[in-house]
Amino acid sequence: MLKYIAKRVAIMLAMLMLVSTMIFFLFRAMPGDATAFIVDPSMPPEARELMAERYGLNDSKWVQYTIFMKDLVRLDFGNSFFYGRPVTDLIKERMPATLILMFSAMIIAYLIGVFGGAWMAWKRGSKLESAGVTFSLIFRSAPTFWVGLMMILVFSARLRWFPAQGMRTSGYSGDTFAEIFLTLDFLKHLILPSIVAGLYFIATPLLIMRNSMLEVLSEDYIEMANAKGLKEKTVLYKHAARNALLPVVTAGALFIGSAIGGQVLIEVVFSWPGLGREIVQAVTRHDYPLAQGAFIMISALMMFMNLVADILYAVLDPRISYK
Amino acid sequence: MNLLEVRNLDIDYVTQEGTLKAISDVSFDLKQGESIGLVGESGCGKTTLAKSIMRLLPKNGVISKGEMLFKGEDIVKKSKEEVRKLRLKEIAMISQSAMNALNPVYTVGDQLIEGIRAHSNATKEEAAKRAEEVFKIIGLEAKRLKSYPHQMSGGMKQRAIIAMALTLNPSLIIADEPTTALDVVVQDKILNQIIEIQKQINSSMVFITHDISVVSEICETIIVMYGGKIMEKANTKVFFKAPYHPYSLGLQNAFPSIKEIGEELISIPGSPPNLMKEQNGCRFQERCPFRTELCQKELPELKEVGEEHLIACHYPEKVNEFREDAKKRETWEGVRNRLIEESVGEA
Amino acid sequence: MGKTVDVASEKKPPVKRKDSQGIIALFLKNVRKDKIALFGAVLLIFFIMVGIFADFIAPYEIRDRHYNEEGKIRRLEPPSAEHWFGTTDVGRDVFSQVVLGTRTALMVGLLAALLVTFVGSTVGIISGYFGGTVDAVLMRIVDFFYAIPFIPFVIVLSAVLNPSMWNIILAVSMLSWRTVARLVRSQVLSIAKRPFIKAAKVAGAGHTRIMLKYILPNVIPLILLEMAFMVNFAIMAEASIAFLGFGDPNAASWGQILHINFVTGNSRNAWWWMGPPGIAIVLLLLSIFFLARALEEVVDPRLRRR
Repeated sequence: MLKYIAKRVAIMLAMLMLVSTMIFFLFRAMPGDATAFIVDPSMPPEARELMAERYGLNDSKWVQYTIFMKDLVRLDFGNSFFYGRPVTDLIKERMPATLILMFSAMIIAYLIGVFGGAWMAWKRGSKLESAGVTFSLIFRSAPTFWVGLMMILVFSARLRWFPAQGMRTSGYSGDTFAEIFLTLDFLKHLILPSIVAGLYFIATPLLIMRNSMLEVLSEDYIEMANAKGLKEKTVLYKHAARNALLPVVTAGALFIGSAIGGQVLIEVVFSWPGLGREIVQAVTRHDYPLAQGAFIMISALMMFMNLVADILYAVLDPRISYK
Repeated sequence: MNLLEVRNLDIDYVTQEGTLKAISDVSFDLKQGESIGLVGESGCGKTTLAKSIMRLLPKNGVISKGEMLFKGEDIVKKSKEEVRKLRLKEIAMISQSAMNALNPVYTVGDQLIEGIRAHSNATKEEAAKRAEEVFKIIGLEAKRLKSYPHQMSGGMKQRAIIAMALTLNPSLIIADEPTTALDVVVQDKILNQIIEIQKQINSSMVFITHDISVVSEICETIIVMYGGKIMEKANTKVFFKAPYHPYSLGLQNAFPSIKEIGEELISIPGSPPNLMKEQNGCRFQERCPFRTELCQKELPELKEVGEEHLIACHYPEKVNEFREDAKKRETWEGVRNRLIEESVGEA
Repeated sequence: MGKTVDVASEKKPPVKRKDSQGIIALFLKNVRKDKIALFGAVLLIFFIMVGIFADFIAPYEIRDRHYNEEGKIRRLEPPSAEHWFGTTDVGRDVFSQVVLGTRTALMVGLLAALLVTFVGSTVGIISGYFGGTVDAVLMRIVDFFYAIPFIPFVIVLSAVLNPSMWNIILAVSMLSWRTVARLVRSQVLSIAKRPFIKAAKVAGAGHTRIMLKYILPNVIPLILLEMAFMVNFAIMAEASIAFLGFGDPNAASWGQILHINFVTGNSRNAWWWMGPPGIAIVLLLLSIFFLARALEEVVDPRLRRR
């Protein structure tokens, strides 16, 4: 198992190198002069030249690339054009917000999805089952940013139940993790965006769980569990759901990719100070170093979650052993 | 005293295409300690009947009529919870497919312990001890309790399932083709073990199989089913010496004893009736070489032809004639030709 | 990375060989039987009609600014007889924009889905059929594309290329073919083992012939189903990119309408401006999901209701 993880981590790092290379050249192909965004156009050309020199923009692409990769190994993504601060620091600041939002949404989606899907399979053919399918498809069909805007319209602008923007009420500042994230104020800010993201995710666990449950429920060991005189709930959750969960876990891993993508939009709508919103702003501002860094971090996050899911799969299914 | 009395049982499957009458008007008694072999082709209703005793029918299966008195109480009328308490403790099942009857994600031991604890206040340790005991009885090492199903052979899994059925000394064991998935040598061993243990704990048994020869070895009583009805019920010894029903005669041809090895098998031409359709007369008449007009019109009742020997045929008195003819190939060839003619006529 | 996925998908029984007529007949039969699928079909036909005749249905040019009798710009007017979905902050007609947006959505969805399924199935079939090194190399490429976050990549690409509908289609397609490739591959793997493929090989059929004549017909239902999902995926992606402001500023697209609405700060008051494009996206995607249900039952017979 350890050997397998080591191998996977090695592949992951190689992949990350490739992704970084791709993103580096993609940004260099961007139209427009990057200095135009970091240097006030009214400044004399000499000053602009100086700035370009400082950020290494005058070197050849290959020289820039070599420096970029060398720095990357040291987790140094350079300085942001816009903020004028190290990208690594900025990412460190933005990362917790993104992760917290993603995990809260995942927890909402998977809790409701797994139990709901199991229950829908149990109630197969009922009105409630098709209502459940339709419900999840409606939210899969609705763009997250639009649902977010609607939620803000209803729950913030009209009902004034929840704040619409950011992670905390303006004026509040905290330094430690607990001061920032473990407050009622933060929780209030978290509710709307995580519900919106959760609703979008929910179709995946719900529908896969339902289908996989239907399959499992016709297995012989389910009849056997019933024949043992176990309670209905025990059969449903301990025996059937436990097995049906396996494909849900795999699908969940692959889904995380698009989940992070969808979250970019939610972060924008809710002005959530995470990596996703940062990447949109960085691209708009032609802030390569920051956009690159955020992109690579999101990519690493995806790969990491994939690995976690594979390991989880092995833990859940005794038949699987990785070598 | 009878452990189980089944009276006028009807079971339907409700499907999109219509209702399938899987069991119609089936009655029989099972004495304490007795073992009954249920035989018949697939689709004759034997598995449905067995499952209904544990109320394990699929969702679309309905007991539409009749009663099943287990220790004097009607299982049909019991609530879900009451039935649940009966399962494993009073009525245990040895299931058909050893390969898939164990949950792949739990150890075999956990699955045994779980069953024990669902019916008693036993602690985990007590239940584990009991599991070890039954494993010993069935001839499995105690350390196997810690194995996952995929780490065991088919024979071991089957033994584990038998062990599971025995954990609470049930009064009734339902064995649904318990050895079909195994190879012949293992089959025999396991069959013998089942009987031995059944005798030991003096439980009754309903043994389902399509292999009539197995019944001769292990059951006192045999019930031959066809098209959802009982055709013949008899003491096994009597039955194998002198079966009455034309269908039984046909079955005997298809499964020769060792003595007659070398003889060619004669099978019964045609296929079982479609139980979605309304049935007229005797269920077997379509494939019966001796049918008359009466057989096509009127359903024969189960009649006693000897001590505890019941058959559902209009002509028990012609049995000697039937037995002679049933041995001949031409008799069954005649059925084949008749079936072909009929199908041509319809087209 | 591919290992566990294959376990899950290979468990599905391979679809029996069907001719394309059989697939369509079965699909249509399912649609007729399933009220929800039928509803989806009607809705989709409605959208296609609106898309085709958008120019006739839309009462105004999308960039026209409208004035009232007093000669003032009709700023942020709620729905009225002249402007069914009201007006924008600069007096443009929302209804016309939504109607013309339908065409963009359908075009992007269909073209991207065609491109994605073509590339994806080609890679999937080749990979699954040849196996070995070919398979290993192609699947590593697929793995690589799985490691790229979708929306961020599409944003970057749209920023690098000039914002236009075609570039959005290209960007969406570049990252989506991997899903189709992987799914098709695992089904081809199980088909390639079946006797009739061996029989065809023995009979001397060439690789191309086997892939086109024996394997392709068996994966067509799956490909069609994936295509339906890809249509939705592409429409959603286009809307998202446009919403973030990386879309073609001159095209009428639902995402673009919402982008303007959002950046002008009107998302909290002008519900008539924000509501319709969102509802249009929901309904269009829903109609395809509902139709896909009927198709799903063709692909996976176990889902059929008993």
